[in-house]
Amino acid sequence: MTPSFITVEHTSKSFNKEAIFSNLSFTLNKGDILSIVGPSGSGKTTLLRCLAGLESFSTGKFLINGKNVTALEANKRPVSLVFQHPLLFPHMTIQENVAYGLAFQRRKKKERLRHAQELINQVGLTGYEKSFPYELSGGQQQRVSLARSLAISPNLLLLDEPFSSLDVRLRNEMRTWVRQLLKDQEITAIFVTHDKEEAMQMGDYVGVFENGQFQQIGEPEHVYHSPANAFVADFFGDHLLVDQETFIPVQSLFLSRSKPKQVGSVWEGIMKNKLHVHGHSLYQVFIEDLNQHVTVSSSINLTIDEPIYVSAHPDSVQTFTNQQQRNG
Amino acid sequence: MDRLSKQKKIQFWALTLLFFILPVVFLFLKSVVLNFGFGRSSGIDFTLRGWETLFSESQLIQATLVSLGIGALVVFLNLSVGLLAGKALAFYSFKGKALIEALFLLPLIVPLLAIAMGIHVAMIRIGLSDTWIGVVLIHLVPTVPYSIKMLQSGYASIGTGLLQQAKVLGTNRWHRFFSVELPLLMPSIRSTVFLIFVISLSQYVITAIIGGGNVVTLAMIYFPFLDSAESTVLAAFSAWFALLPILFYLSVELLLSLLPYQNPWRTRL
Amino acid sequence: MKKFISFFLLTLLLSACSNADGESNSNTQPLQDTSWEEIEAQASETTVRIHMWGGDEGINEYIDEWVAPRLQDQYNINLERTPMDTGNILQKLYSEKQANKQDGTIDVIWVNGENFKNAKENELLYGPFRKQLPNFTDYYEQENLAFDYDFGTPTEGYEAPWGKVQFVFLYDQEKIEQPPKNFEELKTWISENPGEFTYPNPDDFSGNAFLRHLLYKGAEDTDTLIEEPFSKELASEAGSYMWSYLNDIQPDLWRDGKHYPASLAELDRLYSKGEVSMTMGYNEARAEHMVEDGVFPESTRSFVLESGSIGNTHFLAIPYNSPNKAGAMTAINFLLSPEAQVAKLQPSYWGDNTPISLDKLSEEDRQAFESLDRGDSVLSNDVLNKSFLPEADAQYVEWIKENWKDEVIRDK
Repeated sequence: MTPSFITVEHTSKSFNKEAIFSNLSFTLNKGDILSIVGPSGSGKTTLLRCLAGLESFSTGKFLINGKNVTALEANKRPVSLVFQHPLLFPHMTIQENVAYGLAFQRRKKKERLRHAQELINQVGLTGYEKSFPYELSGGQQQRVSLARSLAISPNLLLLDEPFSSLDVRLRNEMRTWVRQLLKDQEITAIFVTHDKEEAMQMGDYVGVFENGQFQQIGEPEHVYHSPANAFVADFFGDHLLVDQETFIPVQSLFLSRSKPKQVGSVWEGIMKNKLHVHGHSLYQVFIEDLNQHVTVSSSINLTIDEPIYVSAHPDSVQTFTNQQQRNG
Repeated sequence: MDRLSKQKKIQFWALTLLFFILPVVFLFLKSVVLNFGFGRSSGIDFTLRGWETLFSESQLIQATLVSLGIGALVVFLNLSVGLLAGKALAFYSFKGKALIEALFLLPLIVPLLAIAMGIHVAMIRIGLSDTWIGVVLIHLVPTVPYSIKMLQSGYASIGTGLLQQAKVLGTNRWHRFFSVELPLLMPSIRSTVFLIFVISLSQYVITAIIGGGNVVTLAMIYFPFLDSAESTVLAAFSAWFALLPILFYLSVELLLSLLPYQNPWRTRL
Repeated sequence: MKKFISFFLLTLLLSACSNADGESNSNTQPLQDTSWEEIEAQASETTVRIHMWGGDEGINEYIDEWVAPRLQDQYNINLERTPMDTGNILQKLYSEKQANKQDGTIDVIWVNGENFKNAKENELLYGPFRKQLPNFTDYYEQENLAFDYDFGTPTEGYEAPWGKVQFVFLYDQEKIEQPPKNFEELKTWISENPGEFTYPNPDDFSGNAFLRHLLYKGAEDTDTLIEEPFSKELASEAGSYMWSYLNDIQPDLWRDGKHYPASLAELDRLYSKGEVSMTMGYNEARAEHMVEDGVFPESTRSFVLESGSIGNTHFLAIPYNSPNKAGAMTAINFLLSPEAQVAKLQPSYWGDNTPISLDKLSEEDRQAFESLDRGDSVLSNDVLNKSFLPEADAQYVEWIKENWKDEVIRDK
């Protein structure tokens, strides 16, 4: 087993005896991007702040490239954090902002400015060197913030919902662009978000975080299709949860006005809402017996509050992966 | 946009003229014109007597220097205490914080004279009465609560985010202080410097008691003349008195311009 | 709140007292048994620090420009003047007494009246020293009520008379041909010239003195009021005349009596602008300075009423913890000398009257006093002496302050 570039071992964090997360472990190889996704309040931001050194772990070890950095202060760790808001220094020019973290690197001023310029070029803001932050748009500001964090060549880059303050279209552009930049430069990064699509788009791996625990870590597609448990299925995938052990992917569900006879699983539901995506009609149906909303594609024309049957083939029922492990 | 800012500029200068420049001009006029006022039938008589009296005061220059020195030290101590306490109050939450905040304001509520009288006895015992150090210390009583409050709100308006961001970028405490905190606190620091200096300058009773007459500040020479009916003398003294904070402010401004990231021609916050 | 503060102060004071050590300093030995030659010898090559009210340029210049160089020449004493209000000086001494501080920073202070009473009662003064001053024994009356009592407090040698002042009214000759002779005439003049008279409210030293004249006038027997200690019965008996007089003139005062100047300085400014035609003051020569500086019109003159004018003596004293008592006594002795008193009387400096006995002076010295022209606005010594009334118990001052608002302001 080759040692991993980033190792987090049995870490936990609690405030006033209340555990935020506990016994957390994961590893990353150089150049990997891990997306951590979870509902707000799940403790993912605290985890990020602990990794950055702004908070300390209550227990556990954090190694970067084999070196234990657990006891180091934020400014001594080879880790950089991009916050939710750009947090540019308003009294400095863009160039001064980007070069800020280089002040403590033993390089000539000329060299530092050249490096900063390089990064400004990379984030596509050539020509804005002498501008002040307030002269830039929100997206541009966030790009400067990213350039500033990259300037210090961190071993690990942390991003805390960096796009959440941007509008939807800009957010999509930024995702693709930032991922490409990180990949080009082989930056090891951890990306925190509450948006599962963003998590899938950004990460080589996705960690679904809830209750201070990773419910599942894996490649995005795997997590999407084979959720480890009911929470992951509900939060991350588009599935109908049958019970605590089994689920049905939504694409295996179909709607009918009359009760189908040959299928095993049938539920009565009420149509609550109608959506149109990519030319398909999607219906949001509430199933009272399971107390769940489920969104199903169908060609029948339904009106709101109309009762409807939701059914699936028996062989489309799947078991959660952790249940499989336990059972098998 | 341009027209709006032009309008604002006119408003700004009009207000400045009305509330700051006119009174000063008026004061200067009053210091050279006999019986300046309305309802006078005879002409206006000019006189330099007010200024002559001012400069004939044997201890004027000495007292002015003493006031400047004490004021500067009081401002410096205020900034040191205010920056530390203000940051703590703005960013950290701890048990009894509300109580501490209230305690910090207490010196403004309890009558200053009562405090000075109590402290005086203590200062006599440790040998600080009748010394300029004692005067500096007693001037902290009516000033420190203001600087703590002002710098606390200064820090609060910067917020923790920028400072954490600076820390994550790998800079040490001092560099963060000089490159981010100080430049961004500048508006609060400016008002603190000015206010604290003016308060220190105008302390009469506590200076007299703690300084015991050994420390003669400008206020000790100036205040007795408030009883004078000679308006030219009073005006000349007042003008001199008002000149000090302005001079002090300008020299502090010069000092502050030496800090990093001061772009006087560009920065618009 | 008040309770809390006094408790707070008490705690501080107590803690201070309990820790203070009771040792006394060796250079603060009393000088009562030392000969004057020895005292002057000790005083040579020392610094004497005089703390005194500093709000009058004439007084400041007298000390700085006339007294200080001569003390240096004649006695080798370096005199340092510090402007400080007497109340603050006493406050400082009081705290030092609490802390049992034996080496102070003040050698000479200028006091009288209530301040002296406070200082004496709290044992803040050194003494008795007056009888040891050669100039006092040579040139001043040894048995004189004006020196032995200061606003009713026995001085007992703890202060030496420095000067005396008398209350006068000031008026503009061009506006008033014949000033009133008594209070009735004054009342008539006020009603005939509404808005041209007012007086500072009695929280002010001079305003209070004005009211005391009315109190004297209202007393059945003025001498009893002056000589006996304060009594409420005497006060309210004499006061009834005063209150009704004040209420009578009130509607015709400046601004219809709805507002009173807060200080003599404010009244002086009104007079100087010509808004009122009279001002007043507890110093018979004060107009000279004001005229010379162009503040008051040159046609300013003074007058006193037939019922008399109150005067008092002001004194010099030595704090209990003066570090240079020999120097202080030498300086005070000099300030009492005929030479220094003549200079003080010069209108160009201070114009303050002298408590010295002219009969005891040499022919030459007496000549110097008598030939001195105090200025057109100052009444002759004859008139002043004839109308002189001593001060009564200082508690009347407080009594007037306390009752004026109820009797004059609220009673509308």
